[in-house]
Order: sequence, then C-alpha cells, then structure tokens
Amino acid sequence: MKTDPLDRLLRSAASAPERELPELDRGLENRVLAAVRAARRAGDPTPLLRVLRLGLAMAGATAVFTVLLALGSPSAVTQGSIEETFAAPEPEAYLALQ
Amino acid sequence: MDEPVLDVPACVERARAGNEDASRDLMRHLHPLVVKIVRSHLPRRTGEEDLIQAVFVKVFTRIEQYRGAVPFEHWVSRVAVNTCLNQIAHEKIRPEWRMSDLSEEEEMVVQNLASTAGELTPDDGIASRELVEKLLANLNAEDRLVITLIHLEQKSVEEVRQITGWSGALVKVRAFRARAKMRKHLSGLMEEMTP
Repeated sequence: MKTDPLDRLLRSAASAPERELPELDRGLENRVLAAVRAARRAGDPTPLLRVLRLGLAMAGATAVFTVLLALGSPSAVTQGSIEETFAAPEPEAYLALQ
Repeated sequence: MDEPVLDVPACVERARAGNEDASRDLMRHLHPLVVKIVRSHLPRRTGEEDLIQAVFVKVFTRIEQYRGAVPFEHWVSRVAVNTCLNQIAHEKIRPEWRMSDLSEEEEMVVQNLASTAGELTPDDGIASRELVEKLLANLNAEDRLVITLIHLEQKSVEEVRQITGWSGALVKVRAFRARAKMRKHLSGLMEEMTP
C-alpha cells in the first residue's frame, strides 16, 4: 500500500459517500426544451427571409423569360435592315462623291 | 414497482424528429449520469443546475450528429465532459489555497497526512473530498478531469480514453503531471502545518 500523502488523500476522497442525486424537476425540462426550440428556430430561415428568397427567384425567372421572348419573336429590326445599316459604301460610288 | 426500461434508440429517433415527450423521457433517463459528471467537473463559478441545463441543450440541439456508433449514454458523457471542460477553461484565475482557507476538518486531514503514514479514517472521507476539490481547482481543465476520472471515480485508463477521446499514453502522461502538481501544492500545505 502506497504511503504517499497524496495517494492516501485521494483514496480517502474516493471513499467519501456520494451526495444524493436531485430529482429532475419539470422546470429544468421545460427550460431545456424551450432553449432547444429557440435554437431550432434560429437555424431555420425566418418567414420574411423565405418571402424575400421567393421574390428574388420570381424576379430572376421573369428577367430570363423576357430575354428569351425578345430573342425568339420577330422584331422591328430585321436581318435585312441590319445589313443595310452596316454595309460599307461601294468604292466607286465613294470615289465619285469625292 | 419497477420502472419500465426505456428503449433508448427508439427514443433518440423520436427526439430527433422533434418529439418533445421522447426528449423528456431521455432527460429523465440521462439525468443521474449528467448530474454525476457535472458534479465531478463543476467549475467554481457555475451553478450545478445551469451546467446541467447547458449539457442537455447541447445534447438535444446536436442530436442529429449522433451516429449510433457508441451507446447514446457514452455520447452524452462526452458532450457533458466537453461542456464542463469549456466552462472550466473560461476560468482564468486559479486560486492558491492557503492553510487559512481550509475548514477545520480539512486542516485535520492535512495534519493527519503530515503526522502519520497510515490511512485516513472513513470519517475523513467528506473533508478529504473537499480538500481534493480545492487542490483540483489549481489545475487546468484537462488535469482536473483526468484526476477526477482515475482517482475519484476509479475509472481505468481505457475508460478515460473512451470518455475523453485522448490516447492511452496521453491519459497516463496527463495523470502523472497532474499528480505532480497536486503533490507540490499538498506539500506546501503540509509544510505550513509543521513549524
């Protein structure tokens, strides 16, 4: 048997009778569950944030739809008019003008 | 009449799904275990019930992280120990106890240790426990934990390894160093006793 004072002290402390365990009271249960509910709510997006996200998604979809519609439909600017606009003048006609 | 045995895995599943009755059942089942751990590692400036509450809140907010690889009680033990360690780590000031800070019973224990080589009497148990708690208050969280588990709760190195997640070698090294620190402090108190 070790006679080191610390060993003797620790052995004596380990042999001390256990304190009685308290009953789990309803108040503690309720406080824990309320804290857990609050933590779960904080983890979820709030309703306002959900509305904002939905609004953003709808705005994006509308923008994409508008662009696709504009590209797909015949417009006032036809292929022919584009060519006319950007066509270079004939060299002879240009020289005649000089 | 005996209480019916709780089906812990089924209860954990229901608690995970947000069933509060299952959470209450688990709390009642785990309460003695959590109280024991909290009492063994209670920081000086934290109330026992506050820490028990903090442990349970952590358990139920992180219950999705429980994979079922170990019994639920082991997982809860680890959560409880870590919660206590974090709380103790926040305590920056570690008091240096002097002889004048000890109660009469604790002084008697120191006197017995200094003057005799025999075992302390069973009547000294509570005072010894209080004196050990004072000596533990000088140690950091990990040292305090390893001494509590090995010497006060008489757990094996393997059990401490499972609770803390440390390697066996680390458990032994920490226990050795923590004992050296406690021995030095106890010697200081014993020297104060002998003129």
